[in-house]
Amino acid sequence: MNAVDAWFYDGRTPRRQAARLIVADGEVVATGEFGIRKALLADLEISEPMGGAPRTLRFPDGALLEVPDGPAMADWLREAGVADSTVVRLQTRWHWALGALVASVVLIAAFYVWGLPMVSRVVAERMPQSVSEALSRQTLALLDDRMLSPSKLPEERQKALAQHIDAYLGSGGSIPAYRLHFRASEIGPNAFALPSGDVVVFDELVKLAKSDDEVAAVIAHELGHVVYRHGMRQLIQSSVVSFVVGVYFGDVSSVASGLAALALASNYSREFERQADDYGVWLIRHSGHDPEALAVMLDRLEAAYAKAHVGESARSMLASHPETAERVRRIRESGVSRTG
Amino acid sequence: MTEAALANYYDVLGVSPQASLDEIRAAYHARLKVFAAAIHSSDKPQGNDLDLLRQAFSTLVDPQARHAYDTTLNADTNASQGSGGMSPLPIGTGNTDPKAEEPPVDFSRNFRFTGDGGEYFRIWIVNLCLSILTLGIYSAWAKVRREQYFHRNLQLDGSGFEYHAKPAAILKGRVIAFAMLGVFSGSQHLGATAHGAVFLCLMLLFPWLVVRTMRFRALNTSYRGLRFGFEATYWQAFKIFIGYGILVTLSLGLAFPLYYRQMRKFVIDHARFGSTPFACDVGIGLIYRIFVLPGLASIAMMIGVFVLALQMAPTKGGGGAPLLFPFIMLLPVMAYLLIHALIVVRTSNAVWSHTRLGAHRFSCDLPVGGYLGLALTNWLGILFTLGLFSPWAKVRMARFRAEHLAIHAFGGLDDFVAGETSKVSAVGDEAAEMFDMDIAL
Repeated sequence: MNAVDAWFYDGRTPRRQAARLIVADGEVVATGEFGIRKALLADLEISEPMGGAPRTLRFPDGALLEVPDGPAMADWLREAGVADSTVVRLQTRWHWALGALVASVVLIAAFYVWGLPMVSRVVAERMPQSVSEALSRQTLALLDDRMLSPSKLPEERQKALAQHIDAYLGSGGSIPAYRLHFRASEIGPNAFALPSGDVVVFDELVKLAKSDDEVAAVIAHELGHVVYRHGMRQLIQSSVVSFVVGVYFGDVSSVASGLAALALASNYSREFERQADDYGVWLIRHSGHDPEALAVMLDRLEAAYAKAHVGESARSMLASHPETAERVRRIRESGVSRTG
Repeated sequence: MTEAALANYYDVLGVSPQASLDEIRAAYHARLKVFAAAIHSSDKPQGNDLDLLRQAFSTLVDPQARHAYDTTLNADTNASQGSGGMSPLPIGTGNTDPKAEEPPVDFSRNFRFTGDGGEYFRIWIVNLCLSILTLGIYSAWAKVRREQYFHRNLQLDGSGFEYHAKPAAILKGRVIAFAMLGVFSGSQHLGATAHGAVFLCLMLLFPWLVVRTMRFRALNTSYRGLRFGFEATYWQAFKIFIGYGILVTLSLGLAFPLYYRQMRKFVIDHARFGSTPFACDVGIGLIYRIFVLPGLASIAMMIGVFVLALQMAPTKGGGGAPLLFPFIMLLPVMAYLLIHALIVVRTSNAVWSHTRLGAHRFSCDLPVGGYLGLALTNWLGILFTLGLFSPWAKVRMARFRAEHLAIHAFGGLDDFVAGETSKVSAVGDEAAEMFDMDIAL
């Protein structure tokens, strides 16, 4: 059995004393000017190999043995029957490291594409109604406070429109539960849905529509968001994405992490918009009407948006609404394929 | 009466006034051994007894200081016509022993970092993969390994530092910290009053977290078998972080350098190695001078960027120059890196060079240019490799910082004894990390 040179520290002062180590019958014996120290190999805390750092053996009472010669220590341990752990062995080879890199990329991609959407769908479905109600109430109150003002449409007009929409979309018998709210806003023509089933439509959108049926078509799209709980799912998914990206890029650049999180979350939004489009088309058709109204409204909304934001790029990478032309085409094509 | 109050250094060391340097050194080490053994017995020696011992040694080992001390002692003896057979002869000047003319014992060592980027990358990526596979649970083991890598490769006089925290403690701390984060984020959606209440609670919790973080890190770090320590009360931390923090807000940032100096001093003054406390005496004026120029430059830059952005912004009448916009945004980033480098380098140099550990001093001489180049290349490397360069970046920075840090000791690094040790949980450490409250030295 080879002996290996070490430095001994008694744990009470940092005074360094020379020592020689041997192993006999599973017991480590250290001899030096301090006398003899013995301990069972199993009782010692042996450090993992880490490149140029000295390896250490720690006694239960805090005394320490430091071995500067890494390779000699490795040989000595092997003779003593102590093997490196699996993880340590994985860390020493480059091909394992590269394998771990590939595996990490694949796992993260799989999580982003399948894992997270699936988990968020399950969580959103099991979320208690009271939570989504509270959340929606808060959001609406916040928006009313900051960006929205009461609708300028007369009471009777609002009631009539609401009744028309109900009848238009409900004639098939499968309309989900919802509450309609009217607001005015400087944002322009728009409508959105909250997780609780509250749908908000802006005066400007009502003005943009050439008939009440067209307003109803937009509501049908919004009901898609309600039915599939897109609001809650987007909240969960974008939060998780922000958190993970923040952890990964956090030390380096908050700008990079913010942009990355935004781009990744927008991707999810695009998927949701597509799904809401499909639902809207189905609901309209199920109630016996022509989904062309939805396509027409989308075109008009896009034109109004473009007019209001002259000079900005229409092909914005960060836009959460997929190319509207693409959406309109999908809606119209779905019509063609079904009536064949 | 000063003679009675002033302890006789020769008596403390147990040597005669004519003792040689070798005898003084030997006596000092012998006394240290006695001290160390006594620590674990029932009659524990006082901390200031060790300080006295150290003071005696550092005075007597320096011929000039010893001469001055002897003069004082002789004056007292002559004045009180005291007993004792002390010779009025000044020691050292008449001594023909060549060793007496030696310069004072000075032990200067630079820190070293022996880590390697490629090696750390392998450790990092394998641990990352395992963490993903276990949905984050293995990250506690990954963290322990990461800390051990950077502790053990930081070497002083041939020995590395050690990190003792156990993964289980870290995992428990992380779960609790995660729960706290969840409550905080969740309260956002429950209304302004709930959110405000949670925020206030967290603010009051903050000083407690800071103390626990520092304590956890210190007690789980050791050098040559001796652990570090950190002792501070909640109120001491409260005064610094909440008290001075509010002052910074009220003074619109003017008090920030003051807050910064108090914070660094707080962290250092309450830390110890074994039973020996650290101490920091960096001047407030020095810190203010470091912050003034970068502060003014930041304000000027923010105004400049704001004005430029207004001019560049597209208007309804006709577009701006959208292509130039990214470059305009790059300028503040570069300026930020420069200002950040200036502040980090100068404060590190100032604080470390005014830090003592017992009688030993530290010095730090980071060059601004070198640091800036390093930080810039690290930043670019990480961005262009989508984060894969970060292990190399971390190793490079650790090596750079270690190489420019040195300790200057009297008589070697042996004159410490172990302090009180006790267990502390990892809650503070993990919570602090989760809320990004890294208050590293």
